[in-house]
Amino acid sequence: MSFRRRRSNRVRPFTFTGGRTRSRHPLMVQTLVSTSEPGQEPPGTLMPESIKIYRLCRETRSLAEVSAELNIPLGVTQVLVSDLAEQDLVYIHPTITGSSPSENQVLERALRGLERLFQ
Amino acid sequence: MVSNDFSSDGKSNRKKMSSKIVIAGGFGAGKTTLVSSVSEIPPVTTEAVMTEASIGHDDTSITPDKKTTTVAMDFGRITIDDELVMYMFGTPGQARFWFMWDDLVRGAVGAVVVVDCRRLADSFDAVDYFETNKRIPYIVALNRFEGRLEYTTEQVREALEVSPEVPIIDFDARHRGSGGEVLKTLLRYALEHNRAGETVA
Amino acid sequence: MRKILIVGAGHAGLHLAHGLLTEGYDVTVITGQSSMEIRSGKPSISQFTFPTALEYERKFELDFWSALSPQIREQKLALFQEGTPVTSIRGRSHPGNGYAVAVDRRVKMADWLEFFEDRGGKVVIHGVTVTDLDYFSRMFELIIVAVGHGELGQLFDHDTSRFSGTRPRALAQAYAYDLWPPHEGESENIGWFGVTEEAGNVMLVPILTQEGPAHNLLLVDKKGGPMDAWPDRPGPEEQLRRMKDLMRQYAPDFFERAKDARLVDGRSTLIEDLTPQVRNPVGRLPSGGLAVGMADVVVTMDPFVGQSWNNSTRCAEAYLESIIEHGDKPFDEAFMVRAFDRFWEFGRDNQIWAEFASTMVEQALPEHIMNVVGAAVQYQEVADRWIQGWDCPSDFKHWMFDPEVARSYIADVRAHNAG
Repeated sequence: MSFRRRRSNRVRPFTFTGGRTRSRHPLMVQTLVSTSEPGQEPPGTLMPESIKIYRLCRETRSLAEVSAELNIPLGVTQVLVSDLAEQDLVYIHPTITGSSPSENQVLERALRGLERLFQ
Repeated sequence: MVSNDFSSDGKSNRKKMSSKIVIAGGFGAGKTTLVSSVSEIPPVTTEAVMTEASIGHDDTSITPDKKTTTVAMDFGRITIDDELVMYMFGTPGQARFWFMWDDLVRGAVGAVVVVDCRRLADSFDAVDYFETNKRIPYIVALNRFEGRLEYTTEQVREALEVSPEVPIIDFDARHRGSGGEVLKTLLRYALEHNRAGETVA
Repeated sequence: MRKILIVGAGHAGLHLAHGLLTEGYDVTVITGQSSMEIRSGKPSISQFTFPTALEYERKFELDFWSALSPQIREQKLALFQEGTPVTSIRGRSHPGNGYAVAVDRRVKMADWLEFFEDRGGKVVIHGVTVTDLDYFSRMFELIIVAVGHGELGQLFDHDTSRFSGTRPRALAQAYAYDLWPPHEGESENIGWFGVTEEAGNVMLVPILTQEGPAHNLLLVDKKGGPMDAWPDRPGPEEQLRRMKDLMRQYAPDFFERAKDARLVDGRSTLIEDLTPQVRNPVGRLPSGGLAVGMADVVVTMDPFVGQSWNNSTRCAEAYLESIIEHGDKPFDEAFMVRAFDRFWEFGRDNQIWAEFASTMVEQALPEHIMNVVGAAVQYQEVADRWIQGWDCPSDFKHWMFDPEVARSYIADVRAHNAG
């Protein structure tokens, strides 16, 4: 008797809530961010960098754009945006990765868009 | 400064979503040229400082002197419509900073490896990266410097060990229309790739 | 609460992250791979969780796998020397009912990372550069670097004052099925360790992989040694074939068990070079900020003894205690050095033992060690104590390494066994 391949023997991961937690669904450089209540002033308890992000994202921007415009390194921008999102101060937009067939419609839309733009 | 063409109008703006294409390739192969020819904004460059030991990491006989290297990557943007924005990210020229590639490749729709036919070997690392981890679909785009190609696509496929199903096309990175063709080819291939995945599943 | 950043979601970093979170700290983990990417990634050098470390994990409810894993309750050390029959020392992993387990890093780290976030920790997935760290040093009160590989490791200089016995190693590892027990009725869950006079060392242990229980085969030799058959970086099947060949030649008992071995899947093999070494635990950032390195960022060990996770658990515990004791005082350089030294009491003993164990039959054994081997073959309590050294390597200095201490220990064992 020895360890062999068995169909029933798969290890179940500890938990699989499938929630949009960062360890499973990370923020990415192209992820769009916008301030949840663009009309409001940022809470005074925020760090100066976070206040700048809050103000900047009154117009939707990608993480990479936030990083470039405020001259904050990408990794730091990720941490700050992640904290703002956790406090519901910014909204994280969906990204289209093309990895699931359900996104094919959007990919097709992107392709049609490119065909229009680059005739 | 990055200009922002697409307007925001409160919560309806939440429908906005983004996607990303990675532009990889050897140093000077034409990545930045491609990004700038198709982008609606001038390419934006972000930089990061890396430390490097100036002698081999495993050589413990001497304390290595540390030096720093600046790694740059640039990106551009295409607004497809009111709700969809596509970004193009160029990978850093130094192929050894793989962890930065991972951040760029994560969640990308696909990648283009730009190849300078005069220096095929410079593109090997990039092709190898996408062939090995197979995370996202990629195509190879041969940059036609001075209007001519030194090799046929099949010669390039063999030299760079590109899988048979991966499209190889030629283009001119300086021309907007030609760059656009590259992006369209990638998206068509990504869609095919997805549909093939669907039937298997 | 104090804001702490942990860079890297490895074994040490995540153990500490869970510990700090339990103690009420504001902990952020930033790491270059999402849990999905860890699961679908490459394997790493496999490690064990020995009984004491398992208890530390249970303290933070981090032991998810013991019930699913093969439980290693016994280990065997075999010495293969030219012209002599194989000498075997076989003992129990723990004096009580404890056992060791080995879990594929991809299973354990992905689960720990998700669990950390599920219980309220903050996770950010992004590769970290020195530019980021420099900025972070203004945002966090303490930065702990817990990624063993990559460019951040370069922040920490080599420290030959703590350890100098460096010699590059080459290793090959494979997860496989169909490793038979040596004979009918024998358990397949015994950890086998073999040291060879002519070549390097072999390890064959049961492990919990993503596909369920299997075995892990590991060959370690000095770089350029007979078991360093990997300069051309062969593919998985060829690697396994060569591993079998090497075992046939240098450790035939292992070959007998492994001759039919089949890889678990296409991502079951690993080839790596490493150099055991110790680095300075304090890294200085360009703007003057500080970061403290932990576990394998600072200490690289010979993988044959499988102690890297033991180190990382002990290091995480030492840092956790140091941080709590430090209260609200600033985390300065003196604090960082003290925290590391607290761990290094264990780490140094482990490093010394790893060097000893992985090179022990390269030259003729010193007389007192030969006597200890003889006693371990003769008396079960000596064999047990030797094997239980995997759990706590600090014990070896109390009875084995010093000739006088070893002599008196063996005399004592003989006396009470005679009486």
